[in-house]
Amino acid sequence: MLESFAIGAQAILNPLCISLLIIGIIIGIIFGAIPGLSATMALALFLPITYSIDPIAGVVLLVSLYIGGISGGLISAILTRIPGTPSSVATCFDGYPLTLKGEGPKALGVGIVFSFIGTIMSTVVLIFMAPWLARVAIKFGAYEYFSVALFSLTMMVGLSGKSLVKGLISGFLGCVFATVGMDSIASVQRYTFGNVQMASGFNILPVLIGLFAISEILITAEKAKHAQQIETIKVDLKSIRGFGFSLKEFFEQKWNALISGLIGIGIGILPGIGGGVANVLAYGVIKNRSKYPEKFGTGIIDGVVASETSNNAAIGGALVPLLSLGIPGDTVTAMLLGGLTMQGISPGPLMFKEHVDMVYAIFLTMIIGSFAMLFIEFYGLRVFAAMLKIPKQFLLPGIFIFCVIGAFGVNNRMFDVWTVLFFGAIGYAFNKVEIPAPPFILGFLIGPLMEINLRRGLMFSQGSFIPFLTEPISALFLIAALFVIVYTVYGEYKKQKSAIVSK
Amino acid sequence: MKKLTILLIVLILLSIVLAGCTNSAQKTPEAEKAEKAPTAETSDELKWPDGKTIQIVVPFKAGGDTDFHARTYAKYMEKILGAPIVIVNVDGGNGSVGSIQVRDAKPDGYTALFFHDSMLMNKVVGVTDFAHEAFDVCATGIMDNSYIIAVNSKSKYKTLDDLIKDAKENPGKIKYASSVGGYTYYVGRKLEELTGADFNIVDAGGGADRNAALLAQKIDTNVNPYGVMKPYIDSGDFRVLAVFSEKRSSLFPDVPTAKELGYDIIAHRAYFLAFPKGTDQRIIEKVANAMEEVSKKPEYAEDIKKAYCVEPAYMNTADTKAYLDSALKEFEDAKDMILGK
Repeated sequence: MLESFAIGAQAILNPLCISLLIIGIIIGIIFGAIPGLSATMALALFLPITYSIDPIAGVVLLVSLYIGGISGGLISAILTRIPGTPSSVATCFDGYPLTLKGEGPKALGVGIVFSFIGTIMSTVVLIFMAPWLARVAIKFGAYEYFSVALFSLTMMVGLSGKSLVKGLISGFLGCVFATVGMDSIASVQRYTFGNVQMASGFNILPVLIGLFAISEILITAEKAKHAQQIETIKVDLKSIRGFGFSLKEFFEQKWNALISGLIGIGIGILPGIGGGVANVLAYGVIKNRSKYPEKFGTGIIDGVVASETSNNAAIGGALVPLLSLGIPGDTVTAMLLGGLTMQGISPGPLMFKEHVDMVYAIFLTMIIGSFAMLFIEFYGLRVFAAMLKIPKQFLLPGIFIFCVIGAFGVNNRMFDVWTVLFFGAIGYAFNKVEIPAPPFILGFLIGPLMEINLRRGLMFSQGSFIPFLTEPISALFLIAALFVIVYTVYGEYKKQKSAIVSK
Repeated sequence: MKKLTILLIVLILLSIVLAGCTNSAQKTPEAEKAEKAPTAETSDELKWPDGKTIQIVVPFKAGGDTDFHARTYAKYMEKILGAPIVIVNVDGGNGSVGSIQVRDAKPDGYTALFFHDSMLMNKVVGVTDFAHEAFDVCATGIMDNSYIIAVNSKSKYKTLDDLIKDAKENPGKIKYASSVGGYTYYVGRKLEELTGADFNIVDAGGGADRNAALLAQKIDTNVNPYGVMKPYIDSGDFRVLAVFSEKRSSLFPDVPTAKELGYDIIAHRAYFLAFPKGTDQRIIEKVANAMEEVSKKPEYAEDIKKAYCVEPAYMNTADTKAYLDSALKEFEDAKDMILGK
């Protein structure tokens, strides 16, 4: 192993690779931080460039863009309540309330440090256990995926906020909107109204920025109209020390970080789920097992820790099936795979034997990249926090422009821009009737996964539902889902009962 | 009240005038399009590409096989044509969204589409209502005839005969992975028709997902281009039973063709370039010649061999058209089979 690291180090410790690594991290952070631009887009933009440079240098650039892009999303999530990427949706829940309390820099510090920890955790797992984990991951077939998806959907409960019913409405609307377009098995067009643009359905990025960014801009604009002046959030930049939080607070989070990290790695390994789900799921789980679940959403660092550890941990997780099986787990790793294939390297069972230099170059990029990210964001902390001083009437229109550009950039077509505006209107309406948007995103991401695996499973079993219950891994997740549902319904029942008694 | 009526009338008039304006505004680009095409043809000297950027639309995401072939071609063609080429990825509707974008683009030679046989399949299954006839087809750059049928090495099937025999004896039990309406689905149905075997054709996702499913023995057999399964063939996890081509591939000569084994099935996919209808024929000729030149370059052959294990195969404009016509007819004749009826 040491020898392999030496080979990897030899490959990347040169001025070109190191400068590409630092550039990659910085650009990644910027893409992640700007709502509308995402890690996926950063990779898409730089992928063609890597075709013409040395394979290792190209992959170093792509991996560092990936790490920076996933972490950068926390900045806008915490400071403006607009998630920069799908991976930082849950970071908003407690990050923004912290900012409102004037503790924005602390939230940023926590997010940065735990992003780092998440990346390192998953890198360690990737280095030592990748081939073994990959063999476990392929045990997950249609039945198992269906059950994991169903279990993930039950996490809507944790995201519903005050009203469970409204949360469920939001979540199921998400599932419904995800059905628009060609169905993934028989190519039947659903809800497309004969419009060919609709045939490919709604892309997650325009939906996300519509729901979160555009609606937030509309709401702020509306408030400003009535209040005449938009309140600027107070932030004291001079008093920031280190990362803005104490060592004691850090150690209090150790179990949260560990559990969130493991969730991130686990979700990352399962192809097709990825960081967009990991952060939301980890937030739900950490909230459920917390001694003070009622405090979540009011601005406590536990929520930021859960989200940021898990989304970065999903990176290492997603690289497990990519490197050892050649299966991309999400859109970003799909592009990494493209980059590798273009260079004549096909990830798969022989990757760890035939391309030791490449594999260890990736590992080292992740380790060095994590440290680079930590330093860059540490020094950037004050700059990011100073963003709060920009009056919102200037900041938000700027964000709006990026949202529209970003939406167009998803697929080079106007349809996605209309999608952003449409979901912006939906997000605004949700806000008016107090329906929470996060369950919508979860439903939108998980719904299709659940459907396709149910249908695939039924094709495999030729119409029988029995294997869903008898396959052990599948059964385990179904029982877990049932447990969450019973536990929640019982909790609601108790709450209602005590409300009646107290009346 | 009077003021209000006047205001109303003014507003109505104004909206009529405005509507008139938008109508005429909409007409102009179309009129322009109609005018431009003939003038380009009548001018004596071809000024294209004149150093201007050429856009090639790939109707899928970056990183796939179509994207790879388009980019590799573009890399070499840039030098020959002396103009920058940009690949634009317009994903959606199994390639139909990007196709429509190019079909409706200005036929000035600066926008082209890089696509393959799925364009025909899209018409047959009803995703679109057009195929290659809606374009000015240029040429085929790659003909992928490396479709192989493989099983897990741990399975009891040593030959294609074993597999077919078992599928006959246990109808509906052998899981053959494919997506309904996809090309490999069609191959599977053809195999059933020819041999009388009865597979359970299941959906197990794309190429990489199917590799994982075959590795975990969740499916029994899988048909895909050789390059997709290559890592697992090299590692000894998969056993290749046959290749569905006319003759054995020079890149994997040990694999027998299905035809030699007595199953006359040929599977292939042509990656071709097409321009919007009405593009100057000289542009098409120039690009076709450039593509031919690329296909003869040894560096190019090395690139595609490394990435996807295929060999260059060029087809000129007339041959590509003839190929697409016959492929479309073949798919249309087998429509019910493809739709799973």
